[in-house]
Formats: sequence, structure tokens, C-alpha cells
Amino acid sequence: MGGKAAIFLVLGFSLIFLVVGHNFNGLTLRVMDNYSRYFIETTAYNIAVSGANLAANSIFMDKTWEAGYSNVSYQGGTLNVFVSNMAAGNTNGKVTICHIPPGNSSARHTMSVSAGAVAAHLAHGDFLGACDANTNFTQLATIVSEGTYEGVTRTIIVELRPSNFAKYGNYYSNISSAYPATGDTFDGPFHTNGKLTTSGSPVFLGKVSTKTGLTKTGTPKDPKFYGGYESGLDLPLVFDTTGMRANASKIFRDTTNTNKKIDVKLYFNSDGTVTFQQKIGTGSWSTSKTQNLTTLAPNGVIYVERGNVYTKGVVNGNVTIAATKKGTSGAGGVYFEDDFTYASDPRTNPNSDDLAGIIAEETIRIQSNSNTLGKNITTMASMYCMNGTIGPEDGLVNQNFLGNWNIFGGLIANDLRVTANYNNAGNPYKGLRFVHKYDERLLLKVPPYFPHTNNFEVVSWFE
Amino acid sequence: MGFSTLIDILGSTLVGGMLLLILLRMNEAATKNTYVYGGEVIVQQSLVEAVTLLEYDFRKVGYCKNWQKIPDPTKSIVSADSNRIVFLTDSNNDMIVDTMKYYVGPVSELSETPNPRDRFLYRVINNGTPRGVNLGVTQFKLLYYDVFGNLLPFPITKPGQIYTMRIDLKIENYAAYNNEYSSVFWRQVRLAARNLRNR
Repeated sequence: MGGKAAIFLVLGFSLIFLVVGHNFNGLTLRVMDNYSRYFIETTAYNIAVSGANLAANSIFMDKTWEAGYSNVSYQGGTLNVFVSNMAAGNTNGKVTICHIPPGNSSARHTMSVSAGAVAAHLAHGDFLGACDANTNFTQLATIVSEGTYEGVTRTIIVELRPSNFAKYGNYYSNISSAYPATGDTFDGPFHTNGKLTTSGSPVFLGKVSTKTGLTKTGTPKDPKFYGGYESGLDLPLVFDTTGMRANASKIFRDTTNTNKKIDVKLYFNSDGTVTFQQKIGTGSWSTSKTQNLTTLAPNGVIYVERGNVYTKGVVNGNVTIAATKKGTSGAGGVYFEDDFTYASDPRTNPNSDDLAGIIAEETIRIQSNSNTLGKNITTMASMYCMNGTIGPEDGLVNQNFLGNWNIFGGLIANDLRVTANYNNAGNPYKGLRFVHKYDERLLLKVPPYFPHTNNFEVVSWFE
Repeated sequence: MGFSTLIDILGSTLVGGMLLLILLRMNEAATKNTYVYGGEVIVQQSLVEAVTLLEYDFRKVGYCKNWQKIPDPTKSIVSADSNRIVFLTDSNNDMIVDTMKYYVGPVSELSETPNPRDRFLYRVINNGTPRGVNLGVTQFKLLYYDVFGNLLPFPITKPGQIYTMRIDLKIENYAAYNNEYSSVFWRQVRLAARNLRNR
């Protein structure tokens, strides 16, 4: 009897210990499961991120890349990347480019080439897409990166688009001397395709990017980057005047075909009309005419070949004015004779659809004349200047008056230009203060056929 | 009944009593351990859930399926403080920009729980009613760094400077055996929302 009781007692205790032990083991396993699941998901995510980065880099290096990756072993898991690249061409595997025969630009034509041949074409000045198509915002590349680890898959979707110079509030190929300094405020995205040297504590409100880094000088060495900073971005200033000419719906040129310089006056009226005159060589000005902007240049692109543009007024509509040099000395400039504004001011009306692009192969200047001396100047436009600088003429810089040059838009130029004279304390005492406000509409909208950068940019990263 | 029988009874009573004491002690220990282990499982599960949610949301700062609706992603963080952040995102990937807010409530909101330190972690989308989740959060601390890795001092007047974030999260169970609370701590050292760097 006693022996049986002892056996039951031992069995009872054993059962209790087993239940309790099993319970504890279960709890421990659940703790481990939690972290194991988190580790697996994190690893799958990291694989997907790596795939997206690899693919984005491949597209940056080769604009037509869409090979992707298939079942690549990576970090103990598997990587799959699918790429849809509109720049990679049509269904037969060919890539559509605009071919510009070197030395014979008038023979430009659209053609389809194999993907492997694209790089060589781009190197000699061709560009992606059909010659007469405005490719801005129409070509998108999408990367879908899937990282799989221990049966768990994480997906990252990245969208890229071709970037346009118009998005920059300030772009300078090189800043040789007029370094951003204490008291300077730069609005909108900023890029210099060299090294950015700052003096003291200038303020950059938008994202700043450089090609070769940053040097801080002065006291304090504390530039303010309120929109972030990135280095290593190579974005050379390119100028496809050939493509612009083909896209222009109004061309002013020497109709005598003797390669004379041409001067064109374009005065914009707030009712949507343009009053224009032209002068060929040393001849006299033509009789002025006034037309609707949409009649004069239906797609908004006005191209002046071998000439200078003199402009002012109030733009009602969309327009891009391009002045090209084409080898002619003294040509390729745009001169503002007075204020250049929009009929509907986007600063007070964000829905304003008035937009202007000013493109000069050489320089863009505020003219020193009776309209501009001794007063504040307002310029609303995205200004793009290939070889020179953007700013007031010396007469305005050195006048015995201190005013403001109010810029609403962007400045894309080869270098910075001083707009005023400064005392030893670093304060302007005569000339024009540089008062720049970025037109944020330029992040999404560009003036007609404004130059693009031939590069992609990431616009969306979903994870 | 002889003397030996008496000894047997006394001996068996002694042994039985000792076994009973062992049983009672074991019961208490098992109860305590079950409570403690159970609490640790709960806080660790809560931590993984909270971290997964935080990472999911914070990595999408500045994201919208229709990217044109957030033309300048550097302006996606509306306001940022040490235990509160408001940012733009597309929370359900429907091309509509949402305003998401994360913050913790005061400890007084959870005075009914035995833990005197736990508080609600709020995740509010747009102008929705704040709905707190009691995951046992006792610390939710945010630190922000600029692009050069410098710590941004509070108050942060220019949220566009934020390049990465550090998130500290401490979770305790809201009830414990003998007030011995289990706690877990998680720190995301450099969480970077990719969309903040775009364009």
C-alpha cells in the first residue's frame, strides 16, 4: 500500500514538473521566436534595400539599363530586381534616341539603336528619346527590388525620372570667387558642379549638392543646410541648342543668310500679347508688331539664333526664350530692360500658370538704363546661362543707390556674379542686394523645353 | 499499537509534511516564474510590435505614392521634439498625403495600471481621434541629427535639417509580481527615411 502511494507521489510530482517545465520552455521559445522573426524580416529588408541601391546605381551609370537581377544569392537570401525603364526603348528591345551627327547637326533625326550602342551615342551629344518630343517628366524608370530570407520577402519600389535644370534655385558649374558667405540666403535646391566653399554661416534653404565636396572657411565655419546636403553628384551644365531650335515654334534669325548678328526686342504685355521688333546686323529696327504669345510661339519656345534678346514686361502664359551665339561674337545674351514679372503672381496665387524660362548661351544681364537705375528690380523666371553669369550690368552694381534685385525663380549659370558693392563689415552699400525667392512650382513644372540634365533622380522610395 | 507503529506514523507525517511544504513552495515559485516569464514574453512581443510599426512608419516619412504631391520631401517633417514628431506620409499608399503624429501621453492617463511609469503611445493620422495603445511604453525619446551627424539641439526650428533620427524605446509590463517589472529597451541609432534625401 505504502509502495503504491510512493509511486503515485513520484508520478504526480513528475507530472507537475513536466507541465511547469513545458510551460517555461514554451515561454522561452516565444521570446526567441519574436526576435527571430524580427531578424528575418530585417535581413529580407536589407537585401531588398541593397538590390534597390544596386539597380539605381546601374541606371545612373547606364540610362537605359533594365536588365535587373534574377535569383541572385545575397546575404544568405535571394535577390530579385525588376526594372521598367522607359528610357530603354520599345518592345523590340531597341532604344529610341535623337541622333545628332557630329558636325552636321541639321541632319539630326530620330533612330532606334541597340541598348549597347546607346552610351557611345550619348557620348557624342545624342540624347534619349525622339528628337521632337519633350521628354520632361514623361520617362520614368521603376525599380522593384525583392529581398527574400527564410521565406520572408520584403519589397522596395523606387521611381526615378529624368531631372531638369529648372528645378534648381541656384546652379553654378563653378564658384570661383563670390563664395556663399554670412548673410547670404539661397532658396531652393542648390548645386555646384565643383567644390562648394562657404565663408562663415550662409544659409541654404533647399537641398545642396556638390560634385567634389565642401570646404568651410571663415568664422564660424557653420553653413546652414536646412534642406540637407549631398556630395558626389556630377551634373555638368549642358546646352543642346540644336534640340531647342528644332523645338522652337518661333525662330528669329538672319534672314539674309549672311550670318549677321540679330537683336530682338520682346516686350510682354499682361493681356497675353507680345510686342516684338528685330534688327539684323547694323540695320534699323523693324516696325514693332504685337501678337498673342500663343500665336507667335504656339508651344512657347522663342529661339533667337546668333543674337541677343532685350526683354521686359508681364508674362501671361508659358514661354521660353533662348538666345544663342552660334559662333558669333557679341551674341547669345539676354538683357532685361526693366521688371520681368508674371501676370498672375505665384507668390500670392499658387495656382498661377504663368511661367518663363530665359536661356542664354553667354550671359544674362539686368540692363543699366533709365528704367532700372535708382530703383528696385523684379525678375520672375528660371534663368539658364551656359557660359557666363547672371546679374546686373556694372552700371547698376556701381550706382550710388542701394536697392533690391528681387528674383523669383531660379539661376542656373556657369558662375556667380556680384550684384553690389560691400563695405568691410560685409554689408552692401551700393548696387543691388541679391534677394532670391525660389519658385516652388519649378519642382514639378518646367518652362517649355527647358534643358534637362541627362540624368535621373529618385523621386519616390517605397519600403 | 506498538512503539514502532507510532514511530512510523510520526515519520510518515514528517515526510508528508515536508513534501507538502515543498509542494507549496514549488507552487509559489512556479507562479512567480510564470508571472515573470510571461511578463517578459509580453514586453518583448510588445517591443517587436512597436518597433516594427515605428520602422514601417518612420521609413515612409516624406513618401507618397503620387510623388508629385510632396514636391519637396525635405519639408516632410512638420515638427519634431524629443518625444513628439509630426510628418507627412502616405500611410495607406493611396496617393493621398497624410499627416502622421507620434507622441506619448502623460503617466496619469494610465493610473489604473499597477506600473506607475507606463503611458500611452499615440499614433494619430490626420485629424483623427488620438487612440493610444498601451504597450507598456515607459520611454519614447527622439533625437535628431543633421547631414554631418551633428546632434540638433531642441527646439528644432528647421526640421528640414533632419537627416537621421535616433529612437529610444523602453517597454515594461504594466503589472508585475512583487513590483519586479520586466523591461526591454530598443534603440534605432541612425534611422534614415530615404524620401527625405530625394531630389
